[in-house]
Amino acid sequence: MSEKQRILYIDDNPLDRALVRDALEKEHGGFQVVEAGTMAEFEILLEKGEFEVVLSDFNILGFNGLQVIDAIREHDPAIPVIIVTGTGSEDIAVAALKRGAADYVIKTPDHIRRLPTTIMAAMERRRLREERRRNEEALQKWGNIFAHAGWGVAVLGGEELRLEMMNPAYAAMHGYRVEELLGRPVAEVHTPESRERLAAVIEMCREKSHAAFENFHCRRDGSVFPAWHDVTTIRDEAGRPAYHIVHVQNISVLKATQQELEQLNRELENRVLEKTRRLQAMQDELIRREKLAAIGQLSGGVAHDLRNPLGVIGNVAYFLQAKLGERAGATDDKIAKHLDILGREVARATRIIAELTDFSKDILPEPRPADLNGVIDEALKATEIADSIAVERQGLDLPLIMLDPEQMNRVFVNLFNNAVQAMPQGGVLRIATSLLESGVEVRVRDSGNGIRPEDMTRIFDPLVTTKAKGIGLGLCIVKDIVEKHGGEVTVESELGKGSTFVVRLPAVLPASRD
Amino acid sequence: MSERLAILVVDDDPGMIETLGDILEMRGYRVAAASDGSQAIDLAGEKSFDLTLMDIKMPGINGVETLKELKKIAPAMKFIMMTAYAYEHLIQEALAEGALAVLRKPLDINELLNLIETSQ
Repeated sequence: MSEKQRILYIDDNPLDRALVRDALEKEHGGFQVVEAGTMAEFEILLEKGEFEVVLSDFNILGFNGLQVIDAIREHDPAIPVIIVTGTGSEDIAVAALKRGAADYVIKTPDHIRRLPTTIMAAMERRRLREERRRNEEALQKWGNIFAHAGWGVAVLGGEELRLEMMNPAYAAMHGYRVEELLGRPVAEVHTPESRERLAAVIEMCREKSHAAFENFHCRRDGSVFPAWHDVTTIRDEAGRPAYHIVHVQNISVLKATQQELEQLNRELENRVLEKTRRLQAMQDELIRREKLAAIGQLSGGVAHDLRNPLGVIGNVAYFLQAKLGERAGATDDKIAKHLDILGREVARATRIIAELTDFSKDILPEPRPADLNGVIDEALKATEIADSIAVERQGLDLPLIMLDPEQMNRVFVNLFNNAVQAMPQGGVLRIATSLLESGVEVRVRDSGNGIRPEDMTRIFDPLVTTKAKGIGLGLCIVKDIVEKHGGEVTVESELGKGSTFVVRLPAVLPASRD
Repeated sequence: MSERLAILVVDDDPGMIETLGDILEMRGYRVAAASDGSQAIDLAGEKSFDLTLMDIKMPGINGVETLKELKKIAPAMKFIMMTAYAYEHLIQEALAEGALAVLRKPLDINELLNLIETSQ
């Protein structure tokens, strides 16, 4: 012991004090003695209080050992007090012990030699007592932790994993009181499907001593909740599993939050996808517009420039035809036929040019009150329809709506031309108009060849054509005009059965005049 | 056609002058040709024409400006204008200046001949 134990020694006999000090300080050496010869000295030293053990003669001038014991107990009950009494004073010794003395020493010729042992024993007892007190305190705290923990804690023992101990939280999360569950197999609070899993986990714990897992528990009322488990296996001295400590947390809120989070994530993802799709669509539209503008510019210029040479060719055809006509009788059928073809082709080229120049015009619609059915009738008249094609009209009543009749005429002429061209062998062209909540709808249906799926997405793009004739502007113009009217055009098609073009326009009614 | 109308054809496209000239002559008209506005104005100073058939878009002075000049020289002259291009303001101006019509190229010859026939 490097540190010397400080002893407070109270005795009014200086000779005895000297003997004791010698014995403790010199012979034993492990102690440092502080002496008090009178009550006053004792009280002063007591105030300073720097000592581990108090050694006191019983009979002191003016007071006795019992008073010392009382004073010390009042000062610090943990400090051991050893009383030294004269021979034959067993009564005094008993009284001292009852009063709280740690020990006593009867004065004998060699009692001083026994003092160190007695002091050490008293100190050891004090140490043990304090340790026990600390242990008890700790145990009490652990008990509190167990009793008040928010997690369910239980001890599972025996082959059947019976609930040997549990905290109130464990019982409560299952809808029971502790005493109702005590001794019951833990499987009873698991769903039947979860028991197998539980058994497997416990088996794992027997080997590895620890496992964490998720499982389903059931409450007394039969309801089920997801739970997170942490199982630790405690072993006996031989290393065999003695019991299992299980922590259980109801994670239904956590799960719900997690699911909510996942749901939010999915929604976010969808929103991002939707946004990306919209951006893509906007970009596609932008590209389409740019392409349109470029084509418009180019085709407009080229088309106009073509009108001059085409005009000359037309004049030539006219002149030659007229000259040939003058030579009655000398008519050469073949030449006449070829001149006829020349004239027709000039007319056709002129139509294409008209289409191109129309296309290059970026003119906003001038909406005015119009009867859409009238527009459709006009467009039908302007369309060359073979006799092999039957035209059906459906749903004829529509209110006047705001639209540009000339532009809309082109929409339907283009759609009808397409329909007719899709039915070279004849068929049915069905035109159905209807009033929707959001506007009007015109369905233009042919019984023709249909559109290949791979063409469906591009048929409204400029310069895309699936026909031998045509330059691929018709549907592009249709889309352009319909969209400038705030509407939309879509297509449905089935190969071999035909296509339906659907034009939807917002029903902007003319301002009423009351 | 009792009195043969004198027609001045003005166009910078030689093919157009050639073919239109032949057609009009075949139909009994007297035809002179100019390949631009200033030439037309010169010609009109030398001879008199009943009608001028003129392209709107030409190098140098355009058809409408030429029309205005020709009107000064020959107030009784009639005008039929032609164009391959959709210069709306020029077309409107030509009509405002008294052109009988503005025809789109390629010309519909029968339409043209009817116009000429009814112009007098």
